[in-house]
Order: sequence, then C-alpha cells, then structure tokens
Amino acid sequence: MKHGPSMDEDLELIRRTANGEREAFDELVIKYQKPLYSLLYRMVSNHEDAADLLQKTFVKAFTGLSSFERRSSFKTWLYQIAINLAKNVYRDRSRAGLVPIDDVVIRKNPRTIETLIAKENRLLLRRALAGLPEKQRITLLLRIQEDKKFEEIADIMKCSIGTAKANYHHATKRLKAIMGDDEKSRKAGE
Amino acid sequence: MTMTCKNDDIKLLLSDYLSRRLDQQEQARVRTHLDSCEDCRAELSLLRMMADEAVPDPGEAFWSEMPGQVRRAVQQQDKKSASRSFSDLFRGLALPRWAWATATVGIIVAVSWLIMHQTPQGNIVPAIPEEEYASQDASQHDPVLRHTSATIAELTPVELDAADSWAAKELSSLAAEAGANTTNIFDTDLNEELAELDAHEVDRLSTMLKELDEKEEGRS
Repeated sequence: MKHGPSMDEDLELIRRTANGEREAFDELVIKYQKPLYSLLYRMVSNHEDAADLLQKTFVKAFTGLSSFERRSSFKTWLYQIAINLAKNVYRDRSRAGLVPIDDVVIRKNPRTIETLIAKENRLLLRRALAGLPEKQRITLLLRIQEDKKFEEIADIMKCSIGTAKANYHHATKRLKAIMGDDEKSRKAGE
Repeated sequence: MTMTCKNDDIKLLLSDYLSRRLDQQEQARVRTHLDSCEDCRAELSLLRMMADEAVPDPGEAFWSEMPGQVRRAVQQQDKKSASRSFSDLFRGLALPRWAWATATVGIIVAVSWLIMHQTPQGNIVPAIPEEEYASQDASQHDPVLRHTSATIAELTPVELDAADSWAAKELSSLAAEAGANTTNIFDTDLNEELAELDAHEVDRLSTMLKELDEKEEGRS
C-alpha cells in the first residue's frame, strides 16, 4: 500500500511510541483529537459523551497499537475504533430512551422568525438522523459532515465502495421521507 | 407531490457540489439538473443543513489537557490489569465448596489410614530389642505376642493392628515421661528413675552391673 506523507509521519510516531517514547503518542493525540471529537460529537450529540469517547478511543489505540495492521491509514483505524465505541454508547442510550442532545443555540439574532424556523428544522433534522439505521446514519455523517470520499468511507466501515454508496442513497432517501413526514405533521398541527 | 429523482449519478455528486470539489464541467452539469429537479433541490438543502451543523468548540484547555488525560488513563488501566492478574490467579485456585469438602475428607481419611497403619519402627523405637520385647511378662497376657519366635514381618495385618494398638498403649506413657524427663534430666533422683523401670528392665540392668563387677574383680 502506497503511503502518503501523513501516513509516513504517523508510522514514524507509532514506531517511536512502540520504542517507549510516550511523547510520540502525545503528538498523535494532538494531531487527531479535533477531527475525532467532531465525529464523536456528531454521533452522540453531546459534549460529555464525546469527550469521554475521545479519551477511550486514544487509550484503546495506545494499548492496541501492536494490532494495527497498516492495511489502512492510522487515521482510518482511529475512526474505526471511535465509531465502534460510539455505536455502543448510542445503542445503550437509545435502548434506555436517553439520547442527550446538546441544544446548539443559534446565537445570532435568535428572535427572528427565520432563525426560529432554522432552529426548529435543525431539531427536526437531528431527530430524523437519529431515526436512521446505524450504518446509513454513520455513512451520511462521514460523507456530509466529515467530508469523506466514498473510498475512505468504505475503508472505515469495512465495506465495498458500492455498499458505501448504497448506504448513502438509502440514507438520503429515508431522511427526506422522515423530514417530509415531520413537516406534514407540523403543518397539520398549525 | 415531489417526484423522486432517479438520477443516482447526480445525487452522488450533490455533496461534492456542496463542498465545491467538482471540476467546472461537472459543477455546471449538476447546476443544470438542479434547475429542473425539485427532489434534488430538497436533498441539497437537507445536505446543506447537515453540513452547517456546528460542533461546539470545547475550548483550548480541553485540547491541551487531552494528551495528559490519555496517559493517566493508560496508567490506571495498567494498574488494573496487574491487580486483575493477581486476583485471577487466586480465582483460578478457587474450587466449588463440594470439591473442598471432598478434598478435606480425603486428606483426613489418608492421614488416619497412615496413623493406623504405622509400625512401631516408624515411630517410637523401643529401648529393648524386638525378640526380648516379645518375651516380656506383659506378652504373656497378650495372645498375639505369645508368638515369641515370630518376627514383625511374619505377622498378619490383624496381628499387626493388634500389636500396634498394644505398643501404642504401652509406649505412650513411656514417651510422655521421656519427654518430661529430658527437661529435668539433672534434677531427677536416680532412685526415682530406677523405680519407674519395669521388671524386665531391672533384671537386665542388674545383669549388666553383675557382669561389670565380675570383669573388674577379674582384673584386680
């Protein structure tokens, strides 16, 4: 597998970590903590869980460094760990009926009707996303919010590119259907 | 009602269109399609809403503390693994109650058997040779030990058990006294010691003394 410069840098840091240089792993944490936090936050929708999962992801990566097979990039491997951990939290919370969602307040001019409608639509969207099957939701998240190519999504989700695209299609179709139903219910209630 | 667009090719390009990652030709193609497709316009606005969803920044302190937090968590995990391996070791030795009970009973039975079947040679060695021991007065009262010509090896298990019980009875008091006497050996009166010897021992002792006297008389 041909490595890019970022991958080479990661491999060097991994090698140094394996030799006992803890500072090398600190560098990996600093490099990937923001994109990982962003992914985790979007998956669990609140800061506390996202922060906790971020720490656990790195701890698991550190302790399992010897099992990193280098078939994919280190970043992809981290994403896989993070997604697996977040899935468990999300499933447990969903079963218990508790999915805490931070209410991201739109701070600019919150009194205008447009802003309120936008806020309401955002809540509708989050509810709709939460209603998607797990693989579809994660695929959509990786594609739209994490800006991943389908090749990268396939790598992370350990599926073919065709499956990744199919999941994406189903996700957008279902999302539109849910949002459309929500919109109809909202209008009917007015 | 909005017709569902069947152009999957365009739909796959919508997110790249949103991020302006398409080349000019493809960008134009998608724009033209959007002009006439309500379904794709609705999908695009949904995708835009998703992309605009902000992730609140937890702050600089959060980012700067994360490497240290990870290190501490790893150290804690290492400590837990070490103590878990100790308790796993002990847990590995744990047996169900019935197994412990069976083992205990088995040990008691084995020890009892060993005690019951130990010969006098294995424990307290009598002060007198076996053949003389067998000819003591006490032996006259014991039917087993009347076989004065028999050696220990020729006795049957029943005879051995009987001999063992008799010997244990006879020797236990001697052993106790011997133990007591070793602490007061210099304080005991010789006459008291002589008084405690049995008849056979007294005879033997007097014979030995007579022999010694005769030897000395012979020298002188």
